[in-house]
Amino acid sequence: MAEIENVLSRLYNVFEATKIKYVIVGGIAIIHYGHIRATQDIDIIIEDDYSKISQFLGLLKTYEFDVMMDQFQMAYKEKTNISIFDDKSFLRLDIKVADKKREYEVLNNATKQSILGKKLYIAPLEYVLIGKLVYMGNIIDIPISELLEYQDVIDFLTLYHANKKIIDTKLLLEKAKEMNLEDNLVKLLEIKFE
Amino acid sequence: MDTSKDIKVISKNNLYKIRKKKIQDEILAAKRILEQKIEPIEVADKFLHESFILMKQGILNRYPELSEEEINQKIRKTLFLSEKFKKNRIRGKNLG
Repeated sequence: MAEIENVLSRLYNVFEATKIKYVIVGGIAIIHYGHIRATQDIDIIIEDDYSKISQFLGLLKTYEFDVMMDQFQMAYKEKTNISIFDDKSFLRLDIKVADKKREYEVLNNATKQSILGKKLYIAPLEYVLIGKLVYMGNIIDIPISELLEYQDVIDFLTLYHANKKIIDTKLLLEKAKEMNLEDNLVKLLEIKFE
Repeated sequence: MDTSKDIKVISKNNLYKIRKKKIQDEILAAKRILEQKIEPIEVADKFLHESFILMKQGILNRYPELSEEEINQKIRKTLFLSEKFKKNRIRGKNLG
């Protein structure tokens, strides 16, 4: 069993035992939808339920993840991400406790899909694309020739064009508009690849 | 030895074409994977696994005296740095 499969398999056991609401986002979701690339972390958003979170962290320790409780407490208070190293591989868990509207939206719209034989909750493709737009920041003033070198842009364009037939473009535009990212989205969609 | 005369600077337009072609190739590869019903994470997992093995071998070749734990620490450090550089690029630009 290679690294990602091993980590996902242990995570699956933790999720099943704690019943915490979670969603896999980031690199793993990008790869799941077809864009094969390297990743070092497994990004997860979890619900803000402290008793479940405590149980979740305890079980992560049992399953050989290097949980540092004081760091987690700090991240929890400051509503930031927390990195948890894996004792058995070079991969890392990047966990975010949901506190923003868009994080709850992804959590509530997560779909259970088969990943390496395990049924896990993952962000729908449209939300993965929106996530990429959010992390790109303002790209309006960046020339397209320069834009094409950024990983977030490459991820977005590859996923969008490889899955064009099944993407709910209406939803994508609607969400981009809600977050004032419509101009960024239009700029990316204007780059033609056919 | 000055080799600067031999280096041909790639024009902005050519750079754009090269980058666009690279993304085009990524799109085609993704389409093929999806059409063939291959699980992309399985492929990525194998790729990652082999990359770690290569990194380990490379470090061991350069520093044969290192213990397994020291090699692992070197890998973690390298991964941390490469991730840091990647993250700083586009976001750094947007700060100003």
